[in-house]
Order: sequence, then structure tokens, then C-alpha cells
Amino acid sequence: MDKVFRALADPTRRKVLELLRRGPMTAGELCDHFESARPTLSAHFSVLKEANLVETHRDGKQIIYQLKLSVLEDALLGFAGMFRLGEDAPAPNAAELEGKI
Amino acid sequence: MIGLRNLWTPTTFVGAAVMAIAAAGWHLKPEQAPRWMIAIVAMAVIWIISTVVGELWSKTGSMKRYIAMSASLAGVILAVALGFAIVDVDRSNGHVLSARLSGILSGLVLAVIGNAGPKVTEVLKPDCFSTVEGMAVKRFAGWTFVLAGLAYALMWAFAPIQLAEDTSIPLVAGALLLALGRVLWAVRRLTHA
Repeated sequence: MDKVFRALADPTRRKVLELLRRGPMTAGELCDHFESARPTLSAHFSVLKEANLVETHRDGKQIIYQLKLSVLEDALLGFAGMFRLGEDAPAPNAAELEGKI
Repeated sequence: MIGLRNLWTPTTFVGAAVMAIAAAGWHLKPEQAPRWMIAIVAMAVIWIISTVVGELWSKTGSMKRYIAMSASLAGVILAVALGFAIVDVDRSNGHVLSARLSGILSGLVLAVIGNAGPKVTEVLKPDCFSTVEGMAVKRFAGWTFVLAGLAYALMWAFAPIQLAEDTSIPLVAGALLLALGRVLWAVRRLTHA
């Protein structure tokens, strides 16, 4: 549960989950919605996967991400967004994110 | 694998639940203390067996983990049911503790199953439940069962017993109908698309 809270505490990762509500997306499609560098986003994806909030399938050379939220995690995502958790904190870089996993 | 370290939380929860039921039963029927001891030991043994078997099964893959967890949950439910049978509380004399506890447990089980529903994807791939509409159906059904389960448990915990008996079944039936209706609506949309 600690990994879930950590994953949901970051606004970028919450935005990824909100995007995945629309349906499965490739890593490239997700990256198009952000200005962050790809390594940083890849680290965010790893945190979400580590927390078991998304799952991935390989389709040729592409990795497709799909939402995997329980009802409780769905509710926590809503609360975290409502209270804007982590939005005041400075954005971590990829190296810092990797260190958190 | 579930991992032995991760078993502390469910083991503590089950232990606390069993001890609470045992204490209630002991208070109501102190003359049946030996039977209570057997019931408590039986619950512990069933829990250990189901958990160890689950641990052996779940060497690889998360689907096996779900099966293992389900087997463990089933073991706990059977054990608690055994406990209720041994309590033998006579409801006609006004003792409604057994009914309330079983109602609370049933509601919580429904909520737990509903909570996990949208997360289970392994057993459903690659059929229509992986689509956007399928995910929406699972999410709706999950929320419906969680809310119905919690309402069911709260009803049996706090409402007058007659009200709980009268409204609990329609509550669950309503949740099932809602979920079924959402499935049929999704099927209709997919077939007309």
C-alpha cells in the first residue's frame, strides 16, 4: 500500500492514470501529453507499474499501458486529485525517481 | 509469491476476528468452552493450510496469486461459518449476535470482492473486458458491489434487526441488477457500434 500512496502522491503520475482512463495507450502516446523528458516519464511509468496500478503488454516494438485500479485505489486517486497532493513539491528527475523504487 | 512477511497483516486480521467471535460466544455460552476451543483451533488450522497451500501454488504469476488468495479467503469463510454453527445462538430468544456477525462478514466479503474486481485482468484477457467499454463496466460493477457490501455490513451492524433482515437482500439484489444492467447496456452499445 505504501507504493500505491507514493505513486498517487505525484501529479504527473496521476495525470498518466487519468489519461489511461480513456483506454490503453502506448508509451509514446502518453509521452505526447507531457513536456517532461522521456527518461523521466519512463521512471514515472516504472513507479506506477511497481505499485501495480498499470499493466503493460508488448505489441511489436511498442509497449502498451493499461489501467489496473481497484475500487479503493480509484477512490484514492480521486481524493489525491481533489486535494492536489504533491503539486507544490518540485518535480523529481529520473534519477531521483529510480532511487525511490 | 505472497511472501511470508506479507502474511502478518491478514494473519493478524483473521486472528483478531476469530478472537472477537470467540469472546462473544464464550460470553453467551460459557458452558460450551471446550467446543469453542475446538472451533478456534479448527479456524487456525484451516487458515494455515489454505495459506501454505496458496503459497506453494503461487510460485509464479499473479493469476496463481489470486487463486491462492481466493482459496485462503474461502478457508476463512468456512472457518467462520463453522464458528457460527458451534456458537448455536438461539435467535428466537433474542440473541441476534450470530446473525449480525454473519451479516457484517457477508457485507465485507462482497465489498472486498467488488474492490478487487476491476483489478483482475489476467483471467479475462484478451476478450472484450480489455476494451474501454469493458473497463468501464468492471469499474461500475466494482463500485456498485463495494458500496452495496459496505451498506450491507453497516445495516447489519447498526440497524434494527428486523430492518436489516428486510432490506439486506433487496440491497444486494439491487446491486446485482444494476451491474447486470450496465453489462447489458455495454453489450447493446458494442453490438450496435
